[in-house]
Amino acid sequence: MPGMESMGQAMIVEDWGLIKYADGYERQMQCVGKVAAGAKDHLILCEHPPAITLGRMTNQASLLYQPKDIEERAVTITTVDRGGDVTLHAPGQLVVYPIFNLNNHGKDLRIYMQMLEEVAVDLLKNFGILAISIPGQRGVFVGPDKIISIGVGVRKWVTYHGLGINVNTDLSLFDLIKPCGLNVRMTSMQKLKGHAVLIKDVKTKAVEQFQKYFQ
Amino acid sequence: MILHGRMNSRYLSVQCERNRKVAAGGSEFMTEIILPELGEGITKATIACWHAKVGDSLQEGQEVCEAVTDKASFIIEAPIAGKLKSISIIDGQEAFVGCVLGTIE
Repeated sequence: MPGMESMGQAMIVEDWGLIKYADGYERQMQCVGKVAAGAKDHLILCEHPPAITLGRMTNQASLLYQPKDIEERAVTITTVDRGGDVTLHAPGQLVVYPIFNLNNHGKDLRIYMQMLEEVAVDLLKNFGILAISIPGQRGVFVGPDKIISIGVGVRKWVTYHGLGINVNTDLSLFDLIKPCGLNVRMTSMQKLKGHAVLIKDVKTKAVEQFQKYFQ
Repeated sequence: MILHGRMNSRYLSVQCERNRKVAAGGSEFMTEIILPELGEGITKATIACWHAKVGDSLQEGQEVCEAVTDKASFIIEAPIAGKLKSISIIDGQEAFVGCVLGTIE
């Protein structure tokens, strides 16, 4: 549903389809400006071409190859203003950017992060995947494997960045990094189900979950 | 410098109080940049980076630094327009909520 825009709800939902990371970031910032100025919350859905992003707490050892070797594999590397360490985006990963005004949602970063994890766990439950959050480790796990990464930025109490949900992601790309700086293996909905999952179905359920939690 | 543990928490607390006294001892026109309340149970954050350097002229609401906690990066803005007089908590250091990060005059 590229270009989908749902108005008349408590939040505006936009599907940007496949968008370069840098272009997506620029559009996020435009949304942050609008929401900070009083517009409704925005929920952005998209996918990115292969991109490694380095959060504010990145340990250089989390990149397992030299940057030039990574870029030769057509994977961009960008330093970004979000919490956390390194992560990776690629087609098949549903990226969700909630651009929410936390002045209307409790103004509490810890509660917001917990709500993101609850949304993610509930979302996966819709697909028969039993996931958990682990105290002290942000993100969502299935057993010991991580399936959803979370990292956010906040300006004027408006959130940006968000979740990377591995639906049909090429998991071999994660061999380039130590995801989130952890010795953790990544998994995907495709790997767990044994077949590809329609990303449009995940988008539909993601919107439902966010609207349920953040009305 | 990233500090951990109970001893270092005590050090941070003392450091925070010292920053406040230094700020209070300055001009009466000095305004403190404070690490705000970020959420229940969040007592401290790491200053990831400053976007301004001492001596820079700042507009009210201009982004001056980023605090990181719990995988969230929070942009801190200048509370008033003026010149960045001092930076108390440098990149990579932790600060308690309510701590003076810098001053504007």
